[in-house]
Amino acid sequence: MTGYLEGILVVLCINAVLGYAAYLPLSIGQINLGIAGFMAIGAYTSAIVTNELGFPLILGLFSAIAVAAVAAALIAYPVLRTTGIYLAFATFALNEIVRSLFLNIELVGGAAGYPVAVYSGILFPALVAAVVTLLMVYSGATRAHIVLASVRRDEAVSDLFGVNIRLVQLIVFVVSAGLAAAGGSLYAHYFSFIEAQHFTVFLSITTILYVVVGGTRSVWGPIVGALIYTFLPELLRDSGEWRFVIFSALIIAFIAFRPEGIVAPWPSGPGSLVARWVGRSR
Amino acid sequence: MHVQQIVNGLMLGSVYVFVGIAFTMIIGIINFVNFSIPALFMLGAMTAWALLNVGVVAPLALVAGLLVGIVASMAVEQVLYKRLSGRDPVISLIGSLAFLILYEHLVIHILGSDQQAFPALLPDFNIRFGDIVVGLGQLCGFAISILLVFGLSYLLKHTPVGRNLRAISESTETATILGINVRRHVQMMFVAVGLFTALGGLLFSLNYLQVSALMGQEIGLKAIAAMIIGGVGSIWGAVVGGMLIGILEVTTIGLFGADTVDIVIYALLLLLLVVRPSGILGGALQSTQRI
Amino acid sequence: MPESLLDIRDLSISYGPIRAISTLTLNLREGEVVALLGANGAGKSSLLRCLAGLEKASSGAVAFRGDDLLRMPPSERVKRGLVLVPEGRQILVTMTIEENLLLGATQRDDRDAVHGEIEELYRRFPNLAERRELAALCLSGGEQQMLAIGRAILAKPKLLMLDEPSLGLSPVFVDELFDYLAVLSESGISMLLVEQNTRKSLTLADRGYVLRLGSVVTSGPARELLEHDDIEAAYLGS
Repeated sequence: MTGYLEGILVVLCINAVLGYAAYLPLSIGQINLGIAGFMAIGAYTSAIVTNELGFPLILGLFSAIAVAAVAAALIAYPVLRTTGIYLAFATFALNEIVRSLFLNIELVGGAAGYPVAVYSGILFPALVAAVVTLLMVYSGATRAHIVLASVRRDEAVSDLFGVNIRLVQLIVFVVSAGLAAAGGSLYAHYFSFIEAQHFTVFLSITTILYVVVGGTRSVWGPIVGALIYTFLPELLRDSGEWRFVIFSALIIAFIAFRPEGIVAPWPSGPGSLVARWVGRSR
Repeated sequence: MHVQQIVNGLMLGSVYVFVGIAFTMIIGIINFVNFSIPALFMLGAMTAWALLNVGVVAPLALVAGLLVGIVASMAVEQVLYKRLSGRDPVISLIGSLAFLILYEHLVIHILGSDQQAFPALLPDFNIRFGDIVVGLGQLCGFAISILLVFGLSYLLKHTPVGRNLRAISESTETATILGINVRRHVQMMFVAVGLFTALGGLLFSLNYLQVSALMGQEIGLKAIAAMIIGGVGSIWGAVVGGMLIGILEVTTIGLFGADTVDIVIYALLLLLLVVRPSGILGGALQSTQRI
Repeated sequence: MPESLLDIRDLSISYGPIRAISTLTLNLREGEVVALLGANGAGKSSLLRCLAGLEKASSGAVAFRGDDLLRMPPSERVKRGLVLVPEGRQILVTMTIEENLLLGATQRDDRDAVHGEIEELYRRFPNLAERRELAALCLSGGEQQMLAIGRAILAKPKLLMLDEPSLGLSPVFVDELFDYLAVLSESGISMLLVEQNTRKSLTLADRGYVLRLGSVVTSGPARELLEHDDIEAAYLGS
């Protein structure tokens, strides 16, 4: 395998993992613009513990996820009190704060960037991406996914059936942060260099966009989105600019021409959905 | 804190006002978070720059910039209109994000992402008030922004169109029952949004002599923060917020250096969102009541 | 023979699998007051909302003053003289009483006549007059209803549609309301009245239609419907 192809495949793995980080909040109807920020936390954490503390790669990954998850849990309480568009604003503010903080910490290079000592090769990202995908697909087939779908469908009804909305939102927020951090860790150890300017709100936005193109109703959506996003520049023999245009144009076209909108309607009606869920809980 | 710094902050802040007003108007009246607005800010200025670069005369280039901003805004309305009255605000938000990315990357592709120097079209004339120095261009920009706000305020309070907009803002269904042509009013608003935002972008470039495909991002996001801080849905809130952010930015740069500006601004934004989401002047956003 | 103002033929309104109105046929001539009766869920509100343009018909045809109504955008319908006083009044509470009234006249061009008519309205309803610059929030239910009707009248309607105007009103206000409706009818405004208060509405109306589960089950002169108590019991569950 050529170095070039290997690079693309690793990018695909990272994009898939990030895709799932964006997918979870979208599946309950929330927009989390802070994904890039959590990715940054993951990247820097993983880089620091492997650089300074001599941790092996796998521990770097776990530290990254743990730190991001804790940060998310801490910040979740105030942030999740906001809803809807305010949540979008709050997560965008969060993202920019995180990015600016890293930009200013000289210990990790500040604006000049931070070199990463431990190199992962292709196997590690591939494994991590595979594990994440399996976990997501598995949970997609279980009660968790149905709970998420019912929360998205109708918060009032979910409440009535005993689904603890706040808990679901919290878990989704924390898991999403952990996944983003995992993506950040993979990124750091493959490209051997990270800089704060990379993790902007626009990274979050473009991630959300390709997940939306892949489809937010199906648990395979992020994979589809990541595939399209990663390979489109190759198909177009392009530097990577056109894919943004194509993506956004695709989404706009979907919105304009498909009356159901960009996300396909849930196949089963709310009645059968609730029945299945209540049935499972017996 | 020097008075000069405050004045500089106010001048900078007036640019944010243009964008903030556009943003707040749309949210206030049809409850739509229009993230494409930062791109409109950039489109006006980049169009003008590109035309000036190939030798088009200044007035024409500037007007063209405004027109491009308006057309780009109308495109957003055309595509998203049906979504705007739907039950899922997430879709329209994502749609506006898509337009942001689309416009920005189209420009990057055609004109590159480097920062460019914007030709000095305004006379380099400074006005002195005692110890304070203000550029003529900046003062004009400031004056225009204030006039704009007064004009808008008057329109909303005392004209039939303004009355109709306020009716739509409270209840789109009731407005429909009354015979108001809601679609036409919404279209008018998008035209205004395109105009104000592109105007802000042009004034910024004229005064600060720089323009880039990414300027929408930098300025636009701060303007959004300004709007939220001032109060979502409130025009004067956009003014207060814009000025505040402008002053904050200038003084932070003076005290701590340019890198910390973002942290300060966004930390304030986050704090406000959590503690007082309605902002300094805004009323509560009835997100579920709106149709 | 007064001309046909409203001519509904085989109208159906569905929300997905739910049929709110099934092949309904109804007509109204100029100068008439027609009462629409029926229990909750009979589809009366859906019908009015569809005529106002808030909801789509799934099939059928409606002619208003000879023109195809279903093709007209809502603002056009108001301009032609089809005005709805919606259920729950839908007063704009953040706007002043005066502004609410002015909004009723949105589609009109004759500003001076409008102001004259507003003054006339204030003469009839002094409680509204004395608070004209205050937000409509301060009005009681009955006062809001008068404001809603006044607002509708300012649109110069040929056909006024009222959806449950007496809902939530005290008996005193109900009387005042129907007195006013009688006055309006005398002045030549035709009305399509949806009401729970069958007695009052059939007293006012010329003819009535009784709806049940989206279809007309009986119709006829108001006097006759009023006399048949068993119809009331059977179809109106009162």
